[in-house]
Amino acid sequence: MVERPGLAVDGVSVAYGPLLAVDGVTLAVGPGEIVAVLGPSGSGKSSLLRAIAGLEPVVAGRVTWDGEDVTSVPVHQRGFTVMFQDGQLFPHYTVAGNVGYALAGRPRAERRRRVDELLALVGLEGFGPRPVTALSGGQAQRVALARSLAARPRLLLLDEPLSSLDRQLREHLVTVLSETLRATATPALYVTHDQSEAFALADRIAVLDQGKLLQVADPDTLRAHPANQTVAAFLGQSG
Amino acid sequence: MDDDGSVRRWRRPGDRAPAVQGVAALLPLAFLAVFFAYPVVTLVARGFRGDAGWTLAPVIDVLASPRTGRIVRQTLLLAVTGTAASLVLGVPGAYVLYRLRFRGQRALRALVAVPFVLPSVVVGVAFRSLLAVGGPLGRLGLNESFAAIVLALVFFNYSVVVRTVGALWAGLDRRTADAARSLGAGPVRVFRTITLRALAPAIASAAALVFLFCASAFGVVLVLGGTRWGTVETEIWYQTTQLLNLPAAAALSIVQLVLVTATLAVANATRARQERALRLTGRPSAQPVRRSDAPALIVTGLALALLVLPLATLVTRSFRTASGWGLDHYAALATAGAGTLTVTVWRAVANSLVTAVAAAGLALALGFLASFVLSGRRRGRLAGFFDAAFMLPLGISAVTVGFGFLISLNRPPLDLRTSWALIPLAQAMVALPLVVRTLLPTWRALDPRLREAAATLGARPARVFATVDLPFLRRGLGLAAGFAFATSLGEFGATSFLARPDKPTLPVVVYRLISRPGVDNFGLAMAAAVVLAVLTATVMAVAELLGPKEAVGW
Repeated sequence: MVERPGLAVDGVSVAYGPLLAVDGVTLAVGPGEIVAVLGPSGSGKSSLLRAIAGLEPVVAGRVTWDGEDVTSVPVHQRGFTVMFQDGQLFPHYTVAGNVGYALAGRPRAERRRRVDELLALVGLEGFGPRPVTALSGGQAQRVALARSLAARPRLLLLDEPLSSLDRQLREHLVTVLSETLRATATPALYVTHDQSEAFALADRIAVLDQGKLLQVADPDTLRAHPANQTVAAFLGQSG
Repeated sequence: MDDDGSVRRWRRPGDRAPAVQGVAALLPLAFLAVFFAYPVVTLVARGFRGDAGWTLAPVIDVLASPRTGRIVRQTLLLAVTGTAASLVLGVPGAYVLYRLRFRGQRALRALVAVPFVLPSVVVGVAFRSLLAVGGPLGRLGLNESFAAIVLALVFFNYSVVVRTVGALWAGLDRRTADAARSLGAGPVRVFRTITLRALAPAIASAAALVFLFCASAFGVVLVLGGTRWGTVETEIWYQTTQLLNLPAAAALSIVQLVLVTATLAVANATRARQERALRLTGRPSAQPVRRSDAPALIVTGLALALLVLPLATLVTRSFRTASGWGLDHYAALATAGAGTLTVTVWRAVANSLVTAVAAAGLALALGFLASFVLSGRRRGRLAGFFDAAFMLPLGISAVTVGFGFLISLNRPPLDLRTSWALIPLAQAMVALPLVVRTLLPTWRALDPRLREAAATLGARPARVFATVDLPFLRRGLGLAAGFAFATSLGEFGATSFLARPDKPTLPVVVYRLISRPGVDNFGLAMAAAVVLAVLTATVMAVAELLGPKEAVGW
């Protein structure tokens, strides 16, 4: 048994030139757990996610998985996948080509089975041969979700995955996301500025402001006992 | 914050290892050094060397001579007039072809794009057929006149203005103009204070490019200018091939290098501004044709007539024989033109095709590597040097290349005088900038987050390149291949210095035919020019089909 199963972020800082975007953040995501990082725009939450994924260099601190330091492991070897705000589907591949991208090297039959299984999971049966350019915004995000889960990542990082969609669709997709993550038991870090998404999805919520972690708590505790004025004000005003 | 090695070694997906960048840069840089830097340095040195060592005397002599003064004045006058006329016709054309919306618009846009890729000798011959005595506009007496050259320059560069300005105009958010109108501004004031301001960077950028093309025009001026009109380019050719006065030609080449470099600096500055401006545009909003668009439509109609008339005349006259109409001139393509030529015209076509395939392949391979290096994230001094090295030959004049090759690659350490490779090498040098400028925007337009997405899905850097970069680039590669092939096929400036009498290319043959007297030579020149034009247009049409729907830049 490892000492600290899952993701551990220890005092991580991310800088852009002289600007410190993430300032000594410490956070953990346990097996099967969904943790939301909630903060206003510019709070550094996307930078934190990118640093965990390996897309941004860390100037201080370390990132570990099951106690093993992965801070300098290249992106493609970390086994963490990212679902981006606008999907970033590959325009030159079909839906099936996108979903199966991470399954390169597996036998064709297995690949096809897995793609079909995932498309069914996100409610897009039979969409495999379609070009991704013909999808609606909501469909594209569902394909992006299926693609991220295809290779059974050890951790899924979601970067505001629903914020480019309209409200009604967002409410529906939060449910799809939540059910899919629970069904696959995928641990996830969910970055958002929308507290209703965070409260609907997360086991625990981390509130980030100006690069600093203000509070980490389960939704009920957070609502009942905000750690300070800033957290209370942020939760109050964006409801 | 530690700025030590561990942080610097860290790379984002799509960032390339310095070793990869270095190896990719090696080949194009070596090519530039041997086939651009070395000839240019030799040429400049030639200009400053007298019988008794280094001296400024030949350069000063040439610069002070009345003939040079006249040539430089004519070059500038032609370039300024050609640029102004292209803008006056092209800006309304950009509006009609890109801002308005009507049936058949796409066909007209394709038509407008044709002249830019036509070989200069074809354009020269087409205008000769239009303006010469006996031609449809022969009575105007414009043959071998200033006006004839300016018309041909506009013919070439109209599409540069229309496409550069049109691309920006099509994307202008019309709500800005609507806001101005709602604040009480009339149509003229809206155009002057809002539209023209927004278009200014594109207009400036197009003007700088057109000026560059006009100032380095060679083929059309040589064919249309006769003895009275010339540019620095034609004068270098004249001094070299007719008077064998190499020091004078070298001195003139230095003048041309200065002129081209200065124009290029301005063009680059305006282009950078335009790229910034383009990012600011909002959602596109084409509008249907209204009655108030009549002036723009009339100007555009005139411009289109200017594009169609010379080509139509060229084709028509290629069928005109001594006894009426027929295919006599086309039949004569299988002959050597009654002794005017050393080979048959079909033989020259074959020479051209083989040369162009080699040149385009070389330009494409080197341009691919160069644009790969240039599109990488740039940091540090060395990267800046790469940038400058690859951008430098963008303003290269074909005549400088040809003349430089002639005087530098004809003796050890590199004696290619008798080598067949000399012409494709020169043509590749001329085509390389076009390839780089076509590929670079495509490469830079690739959203870096697509590479990030691939990397987070477990793709190694090599797989990211193969599955994300390459498919994206394929569209640009088709167009670049077309440009490279068409440019090489019609290349005349450099080739005219280097083609050996027994192995001429098609443009060289066309020029030789048109510059000899005789009705049969003239007819054969027409037929050969039509063949050249059809070949070039076919290549470009195929490339456009493979390429992105709206072609990049110029």
